[in-house]
Amino acid sequence: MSTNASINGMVFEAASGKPVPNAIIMITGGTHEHPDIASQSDDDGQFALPSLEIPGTYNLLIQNNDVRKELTINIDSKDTVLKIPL
Amino acid sequence: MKSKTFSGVSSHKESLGNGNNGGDTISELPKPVTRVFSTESTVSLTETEIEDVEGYSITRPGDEDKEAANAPSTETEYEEMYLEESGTEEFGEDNFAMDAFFASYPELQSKSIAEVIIGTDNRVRISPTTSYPWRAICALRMTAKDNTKWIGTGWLVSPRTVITAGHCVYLHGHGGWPKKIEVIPAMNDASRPYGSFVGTTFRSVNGWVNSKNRDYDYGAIILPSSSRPGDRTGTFGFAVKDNNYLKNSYLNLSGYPGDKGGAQQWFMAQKGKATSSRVIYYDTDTMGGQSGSPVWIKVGNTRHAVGIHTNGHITGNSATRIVTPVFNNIQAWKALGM
Repeated sequence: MSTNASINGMVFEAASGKPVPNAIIMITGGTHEHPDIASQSDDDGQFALPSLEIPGTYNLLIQNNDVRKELTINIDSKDTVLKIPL
Repeated sequence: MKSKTFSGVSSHKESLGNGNNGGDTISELPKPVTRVFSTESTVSLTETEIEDVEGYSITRPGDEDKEAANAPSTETEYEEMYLEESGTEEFGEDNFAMDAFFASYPELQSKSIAEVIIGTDNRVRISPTTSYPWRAICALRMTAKDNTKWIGTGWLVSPRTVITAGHCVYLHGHGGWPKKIEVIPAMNDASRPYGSFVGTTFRSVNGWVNSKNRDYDYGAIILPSSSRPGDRTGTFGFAVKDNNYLKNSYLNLSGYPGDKGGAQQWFMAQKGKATSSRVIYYDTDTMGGQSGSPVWIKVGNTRHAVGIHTNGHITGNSATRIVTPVFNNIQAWKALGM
């Protein structure tokens, strides 16, 4: 049975482990329709995704200045927490 | 997965929901520090305006029946309605004769009644952003009740009224009405040619706030009385158009995509792909951050928004369609910002 959930995450520097503030996180595709709103990480690198239908597979794009990372994630629980190294 | 219904009836009579800073609702409870969010509850649609009272909202019994009785009952009835509200562009100091797009591609201007697009990569950067209509499009910076930060787009319909997606002014799972939204007309990288303005008074509709129904995903920011960017930028008009018109017209869309940093305005246009009673579908490329962008039709020098971009999906991106009840609400919200 599908439901909706807002998934949280954190963006951090792969080398140092330091949080990355002001990164822009957006959904670029997936199995379900998604709001075209972008999230921005706070000073602690934390961010949230908009309310999404789960379970589902979504493509994420993380943009921080010139650094860009694309991910495909499977979300099957509202308790999912994303930890994303840049 | 949400279904897309391309036929049938949407007969909801909708009305204003509203909120401002602190205007949470009974369906939104404070979230724990662990930031693990609960699933959304679903309640029925209502038709009356929600006053912006912190921590309070109400759904009146029987409103669903009223909705069915008080609105056009067929899509054909929508098609018979042609409502238009004019925008303005005579303000400001940079009132160029051509849109920036045609300034870059003048050979295309004669090919369409609307802005057109090149090839499959639709996106064109708008720079400078100080000509109309681009200057009436605003980058939005939302700070949700739970302090999460978000990027979206909006567009001015009056000096102080910014139209956007419902999910930009009411964030389910993040405290509902946001703490504040910074509105930056014509943002162009670090340049803010018309300044920036902080809004704390918001409007949406019960179909979005209480039911999170995609068909009702639209809202407005009413800026403080001292903040009147629309006096300088000009404003968008808006209109109700029928299915055939929408599918045979170029739908222009411009906003602030996150993959470009969220501080640059990018424009796209394509003909409509499909319509439902409350949604317009198109293949125009969009990206996170463009929620709330205007989807407009241009005929000559006349522009009318016909949708509010809200969603992305592999089968087609989509906008909340401006149908008569949406038109009426935008008109009412416009009046609040005069």
